[in-house]
Amino acid sequence: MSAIEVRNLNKTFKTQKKEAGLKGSLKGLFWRETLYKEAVKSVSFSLEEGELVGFLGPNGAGKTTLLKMLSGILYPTSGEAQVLGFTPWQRHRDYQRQFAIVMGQKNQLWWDLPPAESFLLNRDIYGVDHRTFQYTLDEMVELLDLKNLLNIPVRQLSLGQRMKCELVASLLHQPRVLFLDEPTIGLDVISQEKIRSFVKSYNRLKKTTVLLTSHYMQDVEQLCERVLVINHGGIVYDGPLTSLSNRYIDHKIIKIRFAEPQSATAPSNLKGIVEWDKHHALLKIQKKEVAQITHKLLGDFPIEDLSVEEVEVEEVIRRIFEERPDTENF
Amino acid sequence: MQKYWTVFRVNWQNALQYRGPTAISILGNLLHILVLLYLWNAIYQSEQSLGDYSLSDLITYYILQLLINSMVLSYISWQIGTEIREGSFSNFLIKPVNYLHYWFTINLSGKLFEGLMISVVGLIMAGVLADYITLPDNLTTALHFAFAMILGAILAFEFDFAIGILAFWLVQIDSFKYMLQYGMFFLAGALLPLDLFPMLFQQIAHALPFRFMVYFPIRIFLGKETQPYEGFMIAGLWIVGLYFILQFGLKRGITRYEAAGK
Repeated sequence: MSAIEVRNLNKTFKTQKKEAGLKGSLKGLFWRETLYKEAVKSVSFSLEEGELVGFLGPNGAGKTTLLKMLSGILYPTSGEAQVLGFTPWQRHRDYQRQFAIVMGQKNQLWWDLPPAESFLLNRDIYGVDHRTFQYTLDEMVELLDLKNLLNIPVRQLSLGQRMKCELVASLLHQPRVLFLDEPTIGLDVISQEKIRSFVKSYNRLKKTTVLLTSHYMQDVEQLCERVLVINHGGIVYDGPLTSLSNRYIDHKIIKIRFAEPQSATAPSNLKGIVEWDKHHALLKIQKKEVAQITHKLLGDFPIEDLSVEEVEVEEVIRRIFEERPDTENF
Repeated sequence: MQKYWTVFRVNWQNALQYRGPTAISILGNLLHILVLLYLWNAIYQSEQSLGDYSLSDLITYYILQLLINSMVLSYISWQIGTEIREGSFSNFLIKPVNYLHYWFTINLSGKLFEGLMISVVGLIMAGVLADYITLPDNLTTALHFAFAMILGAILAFEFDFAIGILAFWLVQIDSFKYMLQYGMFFLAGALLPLDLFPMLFQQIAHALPFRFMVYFPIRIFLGKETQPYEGFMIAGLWIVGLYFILQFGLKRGITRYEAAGK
């Protein structure tokens, strides 16, 4: 059985225009203007137990909305979802004890208390027995290098330290499914790396099913073999990260360093030139023409170094996002 | 049960962090009460008594009001409103915890903490003003008073919680909150004993449950309510009724919250 099964999920937000002040609120009790926005449109996918899958998409694509529905924070407009056999928005206690969501932009730790206090609170809210708790905590403290921070008030921690503690707080009950919504947002490179490697080893160690959203390409590149690309509320790609470029990109990049200076202006009989100067050139070439053009280049110019490269994933994603027309009907 | 005990304890820790601000707010209340006492003292220079209140009755009334403000009246609605408006309420939707019970525990822990702090001030004041204070003359009255305080605290919490969860329907509850809270405290007898008001107002206040928060317990303390059992029963019914209404309201509110997608 798959850990997460989503079929035809839709979410349309009905928002109401409201005016400011007491008069506005009173007026709002009787009359409001309604606006509609389709945040998630017929989304279907499934995840096997233990998979680590990345959700890619620009701001407002519907990633967070989806995660919120799968956590039971939001009720869908239509469609079905099963996580570990539960319908998330029924908020069954047994489901709540088996999953966790970490939102990079929201915190659950008590601001004025050391993280250790919030950990104890979660221990008892989830009913984790004391020994398991201590063991799990020690393990994560070790992995994330938090030993000396547990007794410092949260408000005195750095953003990176806080994020690590948020992760620990959410994992104390050893969830079988973990949703990570922008877990590395706003963090420096080192903290990002630390969180990434933690998520990776945690997923391997515990066989936890992880669904991660991020708009940092590196998060997804390093962690996920499979990605779901979402744009304007719909899934536009579901598959391995590596074949993403095959499907959307029909060209490669050829980089050249000349052995001796060339004329500063690019020759007119060469196509696909992106950059050209006396010493370097960069060409964007259709995949099927790569061999032929490489051959021609090597014959026509004194070349010291030539490399053929795949387009970067980030570029691929950008292409996908730009390709689709803006259909927001807000 | 264990989880709510931990909630209680953790909030107690949190309150400790705020003992400075709590002390300052108690001092503020104290100042307010002292001004009122000064005023009443001046009034009693020309009057023997007002209604059935002697000067020492009224001084006792306001000192107890100080205690009640800290131990009974609830001020958590702004936090609830903020949680709902800013979306940290989501943290509770994903956890196996009941929001109403959670906040009841937080409030209880906060009120006991504040009560401990105010008791010190109250005892000092009572010592200074010993000659002007009416004390209960028997244990039954004292027990009645304590029980009435507990009922009042639960009711006060329930009403404050209700104001808080208005945030599900209204984006900004602050404007309403002050209006409702002030009206509620006024009808509770926090400003003046209710029977010093005109008859019509008294009847309205008597029909409403707010009097159980301030007026009723103090009347018991002053020995003016020797058979408070009917009051206990009515207050108890309100508490139970409100509990179900709040659970229902919370459920409806969550449906709205879910739809809005915070």
